[in-house]
Amino acid sequence: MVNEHEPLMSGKPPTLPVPTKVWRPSDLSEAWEVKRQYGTEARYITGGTLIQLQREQGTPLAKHLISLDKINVLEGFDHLEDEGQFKLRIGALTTLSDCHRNVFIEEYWPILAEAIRHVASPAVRNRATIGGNVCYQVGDVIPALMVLEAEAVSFDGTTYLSNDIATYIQLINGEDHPILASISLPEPPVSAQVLSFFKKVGRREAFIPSIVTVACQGCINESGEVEYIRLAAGGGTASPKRLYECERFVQNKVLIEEDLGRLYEMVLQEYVPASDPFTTADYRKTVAANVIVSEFEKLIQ
Amino acid sequence: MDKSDAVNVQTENVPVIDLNLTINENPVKLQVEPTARLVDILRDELQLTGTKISCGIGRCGACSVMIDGQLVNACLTMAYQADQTSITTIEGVSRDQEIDPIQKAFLEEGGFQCGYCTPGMVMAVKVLLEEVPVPTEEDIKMALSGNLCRCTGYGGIIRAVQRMAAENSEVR
Repeated sequence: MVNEHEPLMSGKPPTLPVPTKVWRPSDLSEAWEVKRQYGTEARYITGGTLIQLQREQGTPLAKHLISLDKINVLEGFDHLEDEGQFKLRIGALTTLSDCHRNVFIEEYWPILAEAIRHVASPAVRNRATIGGNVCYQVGDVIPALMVLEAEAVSFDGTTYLSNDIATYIQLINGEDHPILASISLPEPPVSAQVLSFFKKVGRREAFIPSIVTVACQGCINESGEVEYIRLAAGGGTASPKRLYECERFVQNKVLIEEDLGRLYEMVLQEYVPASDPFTTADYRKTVAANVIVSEFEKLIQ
Repeated sequence: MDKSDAVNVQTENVPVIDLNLTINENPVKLQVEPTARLVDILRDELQLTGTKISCGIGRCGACSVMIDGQLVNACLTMAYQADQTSITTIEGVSRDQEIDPIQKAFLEEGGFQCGYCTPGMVMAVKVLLEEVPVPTEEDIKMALSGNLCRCTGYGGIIRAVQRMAAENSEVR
């Protein structure tokens, strides 16, 4: 017999799992209300791949899980027309596999397809959602969405907000953050030559958390000038960021060999990753600079 | 209060859901916690132990099953997510006491040693061949990128899939 007031084992008293209730609201307003009711005890869930990973690593499930999987408007693709430009709206619940299979993404936003191809494995991509990858804040598709100037459309309980991806990722840090409803991809710019790439570097060839992810979307005109450029880098535990200084340096230039040395230095200066027990921030910076410069070198050659 | 009583008091409040699904073409009804892992339900509640547990985080593919025709990790799937679905496990791929041709190819090409990863591998290959009957080596590597084998070095596994691809090519 063990005394009621004594710990059952030596050391810390045992931590027993708290039962989790799963809510499955049918629209965003209901989801918002459940979250308001339970506050920090509640967490939204879509595919649940990250939450299950965190549970296995020792993070207990929230007492209330608010599954968004019954909210039909969050699924699938819509083509929108906005001031003569077309957009693709991707519902936040759309799986990464469905995004990867989408013929429009493959044709018009190939770096997003490439980024998705590098996320986990086919089985995980069949459950993981594009919204979940964004809300993870360090997901590998985020740099690609940033350079494509994707918009995050979210619901704050009363209205829909539209933000760039970086701004939405910051909003998630707030307790009552708006629920991500969809991602909108604007029509890509047209030019004589497109410069776009997505590169992921990990510790093995496939299915590994990234050390560095780099994305670029740009246009070169007929004179060889870079007339449009968007660059972003991510990887590890730091949120991906646009590299604005590097973009400004490259913009309107006909790049020559000497520019690449300067660009290398600028990436080292501007990209601020985080260290972890496996990879230092300095190493990540070096990898990012090498990857970006090597891609631009191909352009010059 | 003894130790077992202390644990029982905590588990009394665990909510359960009615889970209705089809497993290997048989209707199944269960009462389970909504956040129970599908892999535990298959193995512990239904004794379908062909689906293996290894990493528990979707990295190794040992627990691969098909849900509504799609490959998923049973360790990443919670019970409520499997409600009203049709699931195929490794026990459901054989027909009339005959092993599936994919299993036969694995046997004949040396596609396994200890065999722990094999059920997951077979499920992944089954989905691949349904989508791409004659896959390239690149297709095969991509399809199996979430299935780890620590014994074979993958040579025999890829040979087994290529053999299936060759057979499918002849049929076409």
